[in-house]
Amino acid sequence: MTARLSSSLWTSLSALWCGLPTLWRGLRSATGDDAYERYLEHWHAEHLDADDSHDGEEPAEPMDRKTFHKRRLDEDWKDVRRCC
Amino acid sequence: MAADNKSLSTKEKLIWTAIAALGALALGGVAIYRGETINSAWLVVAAVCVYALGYRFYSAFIAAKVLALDINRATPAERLDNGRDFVPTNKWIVFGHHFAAISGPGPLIGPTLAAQFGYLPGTLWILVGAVLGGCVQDFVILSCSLRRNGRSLGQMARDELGPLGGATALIGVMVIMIILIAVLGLVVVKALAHSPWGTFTVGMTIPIALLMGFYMRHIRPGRVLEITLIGVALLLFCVLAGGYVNHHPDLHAAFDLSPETLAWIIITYGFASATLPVWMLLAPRDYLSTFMKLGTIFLLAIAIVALRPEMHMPALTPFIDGSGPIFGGKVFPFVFITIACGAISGFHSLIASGTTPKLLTSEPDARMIGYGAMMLESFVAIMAMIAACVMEPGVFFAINSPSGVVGALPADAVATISSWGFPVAVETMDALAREVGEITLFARTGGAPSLAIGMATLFSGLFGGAFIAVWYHFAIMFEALFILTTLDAGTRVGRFMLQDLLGNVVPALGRTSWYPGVFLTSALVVGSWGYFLWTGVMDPLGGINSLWPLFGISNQMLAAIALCVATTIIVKRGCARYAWVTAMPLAWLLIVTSTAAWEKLFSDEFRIGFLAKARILGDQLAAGTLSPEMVEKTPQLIFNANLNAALTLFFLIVIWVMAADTARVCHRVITGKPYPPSSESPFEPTRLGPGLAAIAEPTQS
Repeated sequence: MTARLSSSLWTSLSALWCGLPTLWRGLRSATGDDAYERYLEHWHAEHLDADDSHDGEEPAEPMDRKTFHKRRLDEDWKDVRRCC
Repeated sequence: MAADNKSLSTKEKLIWTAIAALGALALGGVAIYRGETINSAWLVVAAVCVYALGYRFYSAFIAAKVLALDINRATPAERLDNGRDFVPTNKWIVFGHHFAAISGPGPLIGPTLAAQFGYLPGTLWILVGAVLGGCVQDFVILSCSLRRNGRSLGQMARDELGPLGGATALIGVMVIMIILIAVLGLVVVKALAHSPWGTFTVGMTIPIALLMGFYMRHIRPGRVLEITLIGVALLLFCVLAGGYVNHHPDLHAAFDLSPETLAWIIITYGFASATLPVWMLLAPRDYLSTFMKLGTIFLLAIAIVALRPEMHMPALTPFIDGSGPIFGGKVFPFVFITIACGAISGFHSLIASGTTPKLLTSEPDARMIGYGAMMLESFVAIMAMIAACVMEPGVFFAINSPSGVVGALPADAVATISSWGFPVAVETMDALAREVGEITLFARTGGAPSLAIGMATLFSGLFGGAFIAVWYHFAIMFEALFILTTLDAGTRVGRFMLQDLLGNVVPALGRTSWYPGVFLTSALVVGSWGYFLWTGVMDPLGGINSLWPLFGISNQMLAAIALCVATTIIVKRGCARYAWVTAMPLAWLLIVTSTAAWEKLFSDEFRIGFLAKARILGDQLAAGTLSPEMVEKTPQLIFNANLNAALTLFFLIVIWVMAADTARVCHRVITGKPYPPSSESPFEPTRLGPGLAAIAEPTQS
């Protein structure tokens, strides 16, 4: 019986341990910590096959982290964002 | 498939019948019980059952039949994905964002003030109003905006009703913003006046935010989690440090500020924060306040569930007849005006048509986010009602009654309040003030100090009654923190709207980077709410008495505007037979707001009618029966009363113009005449695929 108990404890602990990365990712997503990474993913996906079109319309490189965050904050706070 | 009301299995039918029975029992207990005290568990159980039933059945019905949310339809986040504002996001994260956006000080202050009538009227309105009104409004507006590529309420009003509707909505929003900021500023002033500990702690949030802002801009851009944790740690240290400031005589005197001084500080702060770059002060404050807000709400829920405190306020007090000290007016219509954000709040429709619709991955998510987040907000209001009622009613009224009503001296105040049937003693109040580290708790109006006492009692109860002073100032800091964030965010939005508007006349003013324009428009916005804040501080009747009903009426007016737009959209979709879902709360709001506006205009009572107040003050001034310092203030008070009356009339006209316009358009739709076509974007099938969409949302009920 002790063996069964310790094995189910071990299973729960390892499930918790395996769940930590998901929790951490979720936390980063919820707080907007991963916004820059998402932007980079999106930018690279968009510019994979964009060599022929969009000449001179879009920048050749993605924004750097500092510029991206400043722009994002400026845009976020244009709308009604906090309530009564 | 997802939005259909699947027929229930026998097991599910049994479970839901049991929940309904439990809810009815708890609600019945709350309504009928007239003992000395009632356990808050009754309210919590009643609330949870009502919400569960409302969500499971009513919101499912709305999703399926009224809105016909379609899991196979591509949302704007999918179609217009740009990695910045249109981004398909996991529904739990969107829920968190949306809830953080809609939760403000309203559901905390409104119920505290409405406790004047006893716990019953407020509680019933919070539950019924949310499930049938507020949640429906948020949900429907979110869905309407979702089907229109995330267009705002003002834009939808213009599209669906015509230019009159759009202009009305825009002006309505701007005026509400001014009143809202003024009344929230007043709450903060009243909470921090002559409170050195509180003033120190809340004052320190500014340098902490600046530090966080510079750190995040230059040293570690975008590391929100890291910087928020550092900021929170510093903040908690300042809550404790405030205790030291309070005990040190020189520091105590330095931070002991009068309401007038605080009002000027807040006005200056509002101007600075709205003109400085967002990254410097506003954004870091927002991270801090969101974290604190969510954490504290969570802690409060745990405290209430763990302690199951007894509520000492009676179910109904004699003040339902309109003689209440906190604000004048009978329970109908004023309890419905006083509690806005916990039951139905027009401001939420601005958030629901703001950034949230641009984040939804699939349409059925809107049900959980629109309806569900508002339900949670409503539960926060229930918790605030509980926190307001855990103290003895005599203490509650001693804290919240303005000196102009009960008398300036503590002895007079306790005599008046005890004569109402709520015994309280000067020694009790003094002991309580000493316990929580305040100079006095008499006439600390505005709702924040009494809420903080309630919350501190609960939190310290979790720790065996220790550290009540720290918990009290923690609660004050928590409220002031996110009130001030709403204040500067609101000023900024008001400034943008004004720049937009004026930019049509003077193009230079419309440029958001041209500093003279920025300063001028910010000064105009801050000047407007600053004026109302000043009048509130000056008013011997307490300011809340005039400003809070004005805020409530304007907020419900905006809710009525949102419901007008929603009803029009539903009728245009050919679902006129379901239009009662939005038309019913709309009709209720029209009745309540109109009655309240009428009374605020034409009541003969000094404390209720604005025009009566102006007239009576004028008579007193002419007859020479006023004290010298009142003679100085009175011309200003008369002007303010007339201004408030003008605003009330404006709200009344706006709401009926919108209602008439809605009736006109709906009539045209129903009788087959031409009308402005619906601006719903055409159907596009989702390419996320039902399989992926199903992974994104594991359960459908």
